[in-house]
Amino acid sequence: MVEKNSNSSSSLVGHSVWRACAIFWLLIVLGGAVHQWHFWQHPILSTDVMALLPKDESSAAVSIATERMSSQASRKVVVAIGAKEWEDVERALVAWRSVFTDDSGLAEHPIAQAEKIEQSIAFYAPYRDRLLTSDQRDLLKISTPSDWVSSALMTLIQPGPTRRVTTWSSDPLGLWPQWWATRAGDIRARLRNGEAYVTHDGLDWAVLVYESDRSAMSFDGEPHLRLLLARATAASLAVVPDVRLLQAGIPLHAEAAAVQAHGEVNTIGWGSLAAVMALLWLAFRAFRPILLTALSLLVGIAMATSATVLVFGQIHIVTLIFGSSLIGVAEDYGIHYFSARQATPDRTPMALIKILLPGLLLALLTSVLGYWVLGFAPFPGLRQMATFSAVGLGATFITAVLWFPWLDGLHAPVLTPLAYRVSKSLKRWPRLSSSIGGWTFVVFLVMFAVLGLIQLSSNDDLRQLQVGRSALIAQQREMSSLLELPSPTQYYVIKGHDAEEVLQREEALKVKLDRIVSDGSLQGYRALSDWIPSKAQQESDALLTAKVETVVIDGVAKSLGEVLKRDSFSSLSLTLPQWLANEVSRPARNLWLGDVGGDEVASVLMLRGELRSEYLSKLSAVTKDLDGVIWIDSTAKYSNLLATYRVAIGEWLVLGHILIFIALSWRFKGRAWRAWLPTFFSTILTFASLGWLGYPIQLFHILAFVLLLGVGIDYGIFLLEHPDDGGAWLAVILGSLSTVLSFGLLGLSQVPPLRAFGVTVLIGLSWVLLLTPLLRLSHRSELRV
Amino acid sequence: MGTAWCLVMTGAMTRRNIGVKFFALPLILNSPFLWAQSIDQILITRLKNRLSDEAIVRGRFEQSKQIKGFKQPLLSKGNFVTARQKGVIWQTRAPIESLLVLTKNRMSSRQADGRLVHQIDSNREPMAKLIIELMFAMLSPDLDTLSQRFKFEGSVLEEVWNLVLTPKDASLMALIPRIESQGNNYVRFVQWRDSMGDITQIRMFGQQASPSLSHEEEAYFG
Repeated sequence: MVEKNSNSSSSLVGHSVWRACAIFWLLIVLGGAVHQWHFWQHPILSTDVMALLPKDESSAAVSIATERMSSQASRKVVVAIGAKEWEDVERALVAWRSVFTDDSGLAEHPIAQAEKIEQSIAFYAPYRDRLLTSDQRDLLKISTPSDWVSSALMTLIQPGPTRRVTTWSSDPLGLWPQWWATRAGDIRARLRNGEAYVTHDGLDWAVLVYESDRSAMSFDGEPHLRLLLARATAASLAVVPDVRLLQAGIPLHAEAAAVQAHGEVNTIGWGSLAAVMALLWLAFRAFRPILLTALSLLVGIAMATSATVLVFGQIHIVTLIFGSSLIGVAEDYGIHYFSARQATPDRTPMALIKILLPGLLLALLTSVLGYWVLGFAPFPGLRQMATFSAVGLGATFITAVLWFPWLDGLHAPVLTPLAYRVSKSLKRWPRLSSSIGGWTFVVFLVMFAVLGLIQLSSNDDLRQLQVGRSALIAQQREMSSLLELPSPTQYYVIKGHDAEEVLQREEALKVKLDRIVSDGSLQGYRALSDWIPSKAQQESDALLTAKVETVVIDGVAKSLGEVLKRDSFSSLSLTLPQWLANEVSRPARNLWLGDVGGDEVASVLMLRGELRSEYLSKLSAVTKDLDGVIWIDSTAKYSNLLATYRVAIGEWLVLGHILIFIALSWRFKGRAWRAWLPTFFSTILTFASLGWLGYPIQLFHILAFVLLLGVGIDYGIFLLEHPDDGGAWLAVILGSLSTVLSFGLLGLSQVPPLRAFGVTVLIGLSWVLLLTPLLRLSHRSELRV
Repeated sequence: MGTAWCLVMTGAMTRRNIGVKFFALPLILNSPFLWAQSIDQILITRLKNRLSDEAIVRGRFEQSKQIKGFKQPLLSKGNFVTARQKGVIWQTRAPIESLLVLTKNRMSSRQADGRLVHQIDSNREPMAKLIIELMFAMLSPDLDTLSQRFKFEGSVLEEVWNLVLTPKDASLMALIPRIESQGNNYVRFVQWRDSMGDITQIRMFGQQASPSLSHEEEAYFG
C-alpha cells in the first residue's frame, strides 16, 4: 500500500527539518572522526584487570591500602633459577644476565651492598637495648639472673665462630643476632656470593627481582616480556641443560592478557563484520546495502569509542572486545531498512523510514535499556561497556534514520532468490495452536525447563573470573611457596590518630596473632612494629634489658675476674620518622600507609605463607575486641559483591520483563503478549539450558539475560509491527543470525565474563528465534501446529 | 617482595668487615692455579694418610679465647668425643659445665644437667647450615668437607703437619677469615680469628681410640 500522502507543504517542512538534522549529525560525526584520529595516534588503552573491579568506597584507609598493595606488586617480576649445585646456578646466572641490556624494559634490583649493612647496624645500635622479639621478652621476664649468667658464660666459651654483631658488653646475652635472624625470617632468601639464595626441594636457587619499565613495556599486544624471558631461558639452558627456571609477577599476567585481548578484538570484531557482510550479500546481492550498513556500523563504533574515552578518560580492552560484539546487534537497523526496501521497492526511502521508525525506535529503546542496566553494578568495567554499547547503538540508529534516505538511491535492491525464498517461508512457518501437537510441544518445553532449572547452581567466587594461563599460574604458586611471599589479598589495616597509637594497636594485634601462629594455623606475619616498636614498648623493653643485662655483666665479670661495664644506649626512643628516613627501613617501608584522611594514619600487617580458607574466619575474628584494626579479604569481598549484585540484578531482570510488557501493551494493546512471551519463555529455557550444561550461574550470566531481554524482544516487535510481511521476516532472520554469530564469537573469549555473556545470549537468542515465529500474529489462517 | 634488603641480615650477624667485597670465583685455567690445586690434593692425601682414622676418638682440650673488650683471655677446659660421620660432643668442665653436641645437621647446647639451652637446625636457616657444617668439619675433622670450602696451604712433614685454611666462599671469608691447625696423628692445635676480632686457640691432647659410645652419647647424636 503506497502512501501517496498528505499535504506537500508539511512534508516539505518535514523534509527540511530532516535535512537539517542529517547535516547536524554529519557535523557531530566529523567531530567524532577527528577525535578518533587523535586518539588512535596515542591510544590510552587500559589492560589493567584490577581497574575493572570497583573501588572500596567504605574506607579511605582501606582503598589506599588496596591501591598501594596492588601498585607495588604490579611492576615486579621475580625469576628463580635452580640447580642441584650452586656452581651450576652461578653459570646459568651469567648466561641469563647476558641477554638483558639497558633498554630491555626490565631493570634488575641490586642486592644490598656491604656498606648498607654496616649502616643499618650503626643506625640501630644506639637502640639495641629496646629491640626484642616477643619470645625474648617472655624469657627475660621469667628467667632468673643466675640462669642468664651461666647462659652467657656458656656462649662465651663455646668453640666456633661468634654470632655477635657488636662488642660483647653491648649485647651480653646475644639477643641482637637472634632479633636480626627473626627479621631475616620474614624473607626466606639469604645472601650467597652476592646473590639472593634459597634452598627448596633439594635444589639451590638464586632469586632475581626485576622492575618492569612501563613505558617501554606498554601493552600493545606484542609479548615483549615473554620473548625477552624466553631468550634468557634459552641462554641459561644452553649452559646448564637441567637448570630449572621459574618466573612470576603481575606484568607477565598483564602482558599475556593484553596479547590475548588484542587478538580477541580482532577475531570478534572482524569476524562479526565479515558475518554481517556475508549475510547482506547473500540476501541483497548489491553493494549499496553493504556499504551503507557498514557506514552506520563504523559511525556507531567510532562514536561509542569517543564517548567512552571522553567520559572515562581511557578505554579498556575488554570494553573493546565486548563492543565488537555490538556489530551483530547494531546492524538490525540497516538490515530492516534494506529488507523493507527490497520488499516494497516503490516506496521512497523517506517514506519507508517514517513507517519503520516506530518499530525501530522501540527496538532501540529496549536494547539500550538492556545495556544500560549493565551500568547499575558499581563495576567500572561494566559501566564502560554500558556506555559504549548504548552510545554505539544510538549512533548507528541515528545514522541509519537520518542518512539512509539521502544516501540510498532510487533503485531498491532487487529481490534475490534467497531473499524471496526466505520471505515466502514466513507463510509456511508453523504457528502454535491448541492442538495435540501444539500441547505436546508445550509440555515438552515445560519439562525441559523444569528439569534444567533443578540442575542449576550458582558460584560467585572471584577466582573463576580470572583470566588464567595455567602455566603462569602454576609458576606463580611455586614461586610463592619457594619464597614464602605474603598474601596480597588478605591482610589487616591498622588505623590510629598518630603513629604511636597505630604501633600500639599493631602490637595488641600481634599478641593475638602469635597464638594463631603457635597453633599452626598461620605461618607468620610482617608488621611495622617488628622493625620499630611503639614508644611504650621500647621504653619497657629498655628497662627490662637494663635490669637483666647489668646483672649478667656483673656476674660474668666476677666469674672471670674481669672489669666489664655495659655500653650505654640512647636515652630517647626511636621514632617512626627517623626510621622512615633511613635506608634501613626499605624492606618494611611499604607497610606504612601514612596519612589516610580523616585525621588518621594507618599501617598494614601482612600474613605470610599459604592461608587456608578454614583459618580465614579465625583471622577475621581476631579484630573483634581490637579498636582500629580492620580485616581485609579482597577475594571474599569481591565474591560477596558479585553475589549481591547477582541477586539485585536478578530482581531488576524480573522488573525489566514487567516494564517491557507494559511498554509493549501501550503500543500493541492486547497483542503485546506475542512479542513478549517468546523472550520471557526463552529466558526460562536458557536458564534451564545452562543448568543442563552444568554452568554455575554468576553475575555476568544475569547481566547477559538483561541483554537478551533487550535484544530478543526486538524480533517480536518487528513481527508485530509488520505482520505477514516477508520483508520484516527476512530482516528478523538476517538480524538474528548475525547477532547469534557475534555473540557466539564472544563465547569463545578467554575472558570469563565475556564468555558468560556470549554463551548465554547465544543460547537465549536461539530459543527466541524458535519461539517468536511460533507465536506471531497473522491475519491469514494458514498452517497451524 | 619489598626489596632484597633483609636477606643480608644474617650476613650482618656474622660479618663485620667493611672491606668485604663480593667476587665470583675466577675461572683461571693457567698453571699457577692448577699447581695450587694439585698441592691441595697432595696435602689432603698426605694428611689423610697421616691422621688416624679410628671411628671413635676421645680426648681432652684446653681452649683460650681472647674476646675483644676483655682484658684477659677466657680459659676453659674439658673433654670431647668425636665419632666419625656421626658427630662431636664437646664437654666443657671449667669454668662452667656445659655440653655442646654437633651433628651434621644440628647444633645443640646443654647445661650441666643435660637441659637443652639452645638448638639450631641447619635446615631452618641456610647460614646455620654453613656454621654447623664448618664446626663439624673442623672438630671431627672432616677433610673432604673442609677441602670443598677452604683452600689448603701448609706442609706435611715426617712427624708433624701444619695447615693454613682460607675460605673459598666470600660469605665464609666474612665468618672466619683464617684457620691455622697443627698436629701429628691427631689434630693437636687449632686457631682461628673471627669476624668480631676474637681469637680462639684450642689445644687437644690425650687422644685415644675408643671402642664404643655410651648410651647417653648415642642418645645425644640420635
